[in-house]
Amino acid sequence: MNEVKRSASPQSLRDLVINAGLELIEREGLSLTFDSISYAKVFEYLWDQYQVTVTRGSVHERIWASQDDFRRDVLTESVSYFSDNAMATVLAQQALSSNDASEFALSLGSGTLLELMKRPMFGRFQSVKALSCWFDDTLATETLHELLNARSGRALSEFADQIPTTFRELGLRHRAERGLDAEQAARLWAIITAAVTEGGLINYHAGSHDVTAPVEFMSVAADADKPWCCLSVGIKAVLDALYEPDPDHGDFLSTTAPPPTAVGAGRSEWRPRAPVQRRNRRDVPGRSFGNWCLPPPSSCSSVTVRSCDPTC
Amino acid sequence: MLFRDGAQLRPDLLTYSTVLKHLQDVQGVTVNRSSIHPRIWTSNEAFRLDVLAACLDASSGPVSVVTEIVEAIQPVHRANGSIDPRRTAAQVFRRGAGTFSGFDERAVDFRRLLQIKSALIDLPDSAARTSLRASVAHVESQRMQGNNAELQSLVIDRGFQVRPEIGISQSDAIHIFQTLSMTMASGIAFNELAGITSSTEPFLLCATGSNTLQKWSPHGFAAWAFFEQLFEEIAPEG
Repeated sequence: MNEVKRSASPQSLRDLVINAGLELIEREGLSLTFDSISYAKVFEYLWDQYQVTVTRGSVHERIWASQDDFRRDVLTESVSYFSDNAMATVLAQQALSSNDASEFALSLGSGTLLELMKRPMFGRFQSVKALSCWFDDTLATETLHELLNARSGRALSEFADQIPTTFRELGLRHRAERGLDAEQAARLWAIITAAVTEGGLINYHAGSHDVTAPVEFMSVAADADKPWCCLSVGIKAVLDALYEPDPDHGDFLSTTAPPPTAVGAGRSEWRPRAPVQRRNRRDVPGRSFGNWCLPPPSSCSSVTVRSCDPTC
Repeated sequence: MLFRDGAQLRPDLLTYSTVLKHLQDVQGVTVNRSSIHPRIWTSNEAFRLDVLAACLDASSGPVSVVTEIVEAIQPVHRANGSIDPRRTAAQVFRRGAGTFSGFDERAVDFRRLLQIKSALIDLPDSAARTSLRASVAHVESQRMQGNNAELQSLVIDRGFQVRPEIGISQSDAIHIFQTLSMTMASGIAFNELAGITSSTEPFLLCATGSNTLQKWSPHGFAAWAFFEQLFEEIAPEG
């Protein structure tokens, strides 16, 4: 048995207990509650997993003034470990395997985003967001909210940055008549897609408004094996509203579509491009999602408190 | 407590002890734990589920925004000599979207439902949880039916029809529209509660083909895009 002595430095003890709290968040996923992050639960976890004993007396009032203080500390730490690029990665990979915009919307909505929604990392981030709504201490909550806001803003920017290149690959350009530049159009598309996906996750787990259930919807890319769902229709709708086929793009077959004057008006027929040589998915540079790697604690050299998703 | 604190109330604070204290503080009524446990509820969790279910029953009906907005904008359009169904519909979505996600009074009810859903995610599996999930789904489906009438009036009275090329019925198109719009509203409201502001940032854009730039919320623009994907104006005869 490894007993962590009261004489251990507060910093090393804090690292040890915080890391255990982070691992608990990872394990609980969407079933995370306030009770999941308590002194008792974390000490029990440390014992079960690593046979390390930590007592309440060694941390309470020495490191944290209250249990809520400790929870807030764990949640704040957790925010900095969330992967930013999951949505961007999914987008890039889907574009690489799609022949046209309809197929892209269909595949992204009916398969890939659903897969992302079910990934533990995505659920964990939602759980932390949900718990952040319920702290009593306004000042500390503001700090946590600021962190979440900054982290989400960065994730959104990464997602939006990926969009112009991805859509160029699909032979699309942003609709100039909308009055937005390419960057703004990409950001608006990213905000809408992220909000529908996040709302879809909550509803999926609460058993209501299932955006992933198959729906009847005829389209160029209709395929018996791949039914449309509400999410795909929504993605296509916003794509149509903000983007149009680029006549200068070599793969686009129809160059005579009239410029639309309103959202969806004069919607050009996206005809499938001739199959092009696709890069292997593994060639997408520097991307992996679901990674949520925790640093090893500095307190116990004999205990490895480190956790990574298999894709990390 | 749930109505007073709304989405700010931690679901795990709905316990015997906090609620009994609340009763004592607010109404001066003393209730002992032993008088309710296990006579009425067998656990704190069963009590919490019962409160959430009662809260669900007290939720108000569908929000009626279409008629209100149309009535507000028609005189302006008439004065400008520009009664255009597409522009009218666009304004309904531009102005109405915030109802569900902003600080509009009517959004409170939507947020309360979101809070119940959020609490449902946190509760462990049980027969009571399954039953509450079914109740939430039932309430939402009833709301959607109520909103259907609003949307149908927008579609039929303003001269729209389902795009023939997508091959679906009007009720299916309305169902898709509502599911998408309510899902997006959930995502936005959830982010707002967590202090994340990006999903409500406004964009100056031109949606309807006129050259006028207007301020649109992402939700309003998305609702308009969903509508345009599914419906089109009926071409005038002749």
